Amino acid sequence: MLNGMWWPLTNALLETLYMVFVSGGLAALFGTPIGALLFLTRPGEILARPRFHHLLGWIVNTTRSIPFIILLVAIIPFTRLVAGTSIGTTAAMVPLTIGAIPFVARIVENALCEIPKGLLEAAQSMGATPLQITRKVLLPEALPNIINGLTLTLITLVGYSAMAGVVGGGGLGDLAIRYGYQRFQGDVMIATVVILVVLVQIIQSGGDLLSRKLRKA
Amino acid sequence: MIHLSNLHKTYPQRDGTTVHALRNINLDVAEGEICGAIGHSGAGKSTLIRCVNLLERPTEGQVIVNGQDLTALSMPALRQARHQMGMIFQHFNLLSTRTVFDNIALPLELARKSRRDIEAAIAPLLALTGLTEKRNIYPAQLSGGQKQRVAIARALASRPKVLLCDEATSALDPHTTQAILALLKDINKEFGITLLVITHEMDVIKQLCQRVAVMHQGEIIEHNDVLSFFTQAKTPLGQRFVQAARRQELSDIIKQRLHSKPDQLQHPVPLLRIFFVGKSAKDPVLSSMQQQFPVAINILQGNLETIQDTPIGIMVIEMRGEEAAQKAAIYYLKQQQLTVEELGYVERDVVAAD
Ligand SMILES: Nc1ncnc2c1ncn2[C@@H]1O[C@H](COP(=O)(O)OP(=O)(O)O)[C@@H](O)[C@H]1O
Ligand SMILES: [Mg+2]
Repeated sequence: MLNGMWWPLTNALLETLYMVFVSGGLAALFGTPIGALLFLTRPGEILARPRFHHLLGWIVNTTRSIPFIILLVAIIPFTRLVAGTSIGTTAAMVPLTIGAIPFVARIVENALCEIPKGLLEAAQSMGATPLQITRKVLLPEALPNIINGLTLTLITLVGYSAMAGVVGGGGLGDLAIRYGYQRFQGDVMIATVVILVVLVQIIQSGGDLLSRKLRKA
Repeated sequence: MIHLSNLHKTYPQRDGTTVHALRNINLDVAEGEICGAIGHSGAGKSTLIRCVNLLERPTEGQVIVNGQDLTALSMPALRQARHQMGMIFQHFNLLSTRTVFDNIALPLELARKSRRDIEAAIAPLLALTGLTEKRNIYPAQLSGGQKQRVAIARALASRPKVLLCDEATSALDPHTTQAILALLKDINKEFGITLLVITHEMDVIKQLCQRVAVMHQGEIIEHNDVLSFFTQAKTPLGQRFVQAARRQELSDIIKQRLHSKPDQLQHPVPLLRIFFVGKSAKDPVLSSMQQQFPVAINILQGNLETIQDTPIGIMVIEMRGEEAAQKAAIYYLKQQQLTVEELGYVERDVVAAD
């Protein structure tokens, strides 16, 4: 079974992990401030800018509604600009990151909405600036919920990364198609599916564990 | 220390109307004083206290705290001014992901104090609020009273001159309420902090405050000092608050026999409630009255309250005798600095047997 396939499978798994976690991390890095901005500029919040809020919300929604496979191809010129190439694992991370940023932004916005308003008032009454409120109160208090959301994002990215083969990104999905489907190696197909299932389980459990540890209630 | 003048606050509604949350509020709180505002839910108490640190910006009027007109300040200057005002809330508003220590440290972190200064500032606050053992615990493991203690320590961390309390004991049971009120009182004594306290509970006013403002529909309808508020509130609403807080109301038997006018009775006997405050509680006023006037008194109820550490005796008596003698005796009592409340009339021989 899986004769000579152990190395390609391992390699594909590493490529998938690389794509998922790096683009997930980048999406968190860019998506969190956007989400915080979405929240803070809501009508009635401390930086209320309704027009800006609606514009940003519209951009986020639009990006989210583009099917990933189309985004992958549509932003190839941008990918080339950022990654220097439009082919390969690193290049695939550009559309993965772009696709995940609006996802993260909404997750962060929703998590911030759930923080009791009294906490913001308390911080304001202490003379905190909006940036301090965000960094010292909002984000730490929302972190357990944000971690849950990021777990979901990573799992979604595992699915998206399977499509990365289109731009030569490699990874488990690509392997499954090339060996399992095009060369009728059923055992490779099954192996990739098993690895993906286990991967998703591990991400989910890890995320749950971390979120629970951060929640002090 | 706090000076509010001609404060108005309106909220425009979606349907075009406006809600007047505050109307022409004038309030002065002197340095080191404890001033309370009491009113029913919706009276505008929270709006009032939130105007003091400008969490809510008044539509009109001035807010002067520690000599500074807050409404005229830029945002950075206002934030600076807020470091001199602590605030505590009904629902504590602690950060669930920070320990007791780190919650108390928050205002100091915001003011960019060094870790060393923070540690030095917080140890005595933990001791003051009895939380030294709890310093590394998260709020979820604390009782309501302990949470409010953390909130108090946090509010004091930046060494404010003013402490604003918005229904600080309303979420606590009576026993815990007493403890928190005692703590607030100690803090006022020890640090000379000015307290503005808003509440719908008369007990808070009674135990903690020196002066009281009664709020109704966005207005302050009565200013009083707490002792005279308790013995002779000026407004019907104020009187209702006082009555609700008296431990001993008129017993039902007396209430049923009480008439507001003497006309319907054959032998009307006036029923009086007399307050003996502080020094007057020690003088034998009633017996000297009976020596000077041909009246006889019968004590129906009596009890002792403590307000602001001052004992107040409250007595309900009926006074028998000729009408002229009764009038003269009542006049005499009032001259002795007693507060005399004429409750009405009862039929002689009904309430008390001869
Ligand atoms: N943000 C707001 N928008 C509209 N109306 C408000 C707002 N805040 C308070 N009010 C109204 O102002 C009045 C006073 O409210 P509040 O100060 O909270 O009263 P209290 O604290 O005495 O219960 C109420 O009628 C309330 O509905
Ligand atoms: Mg209120």
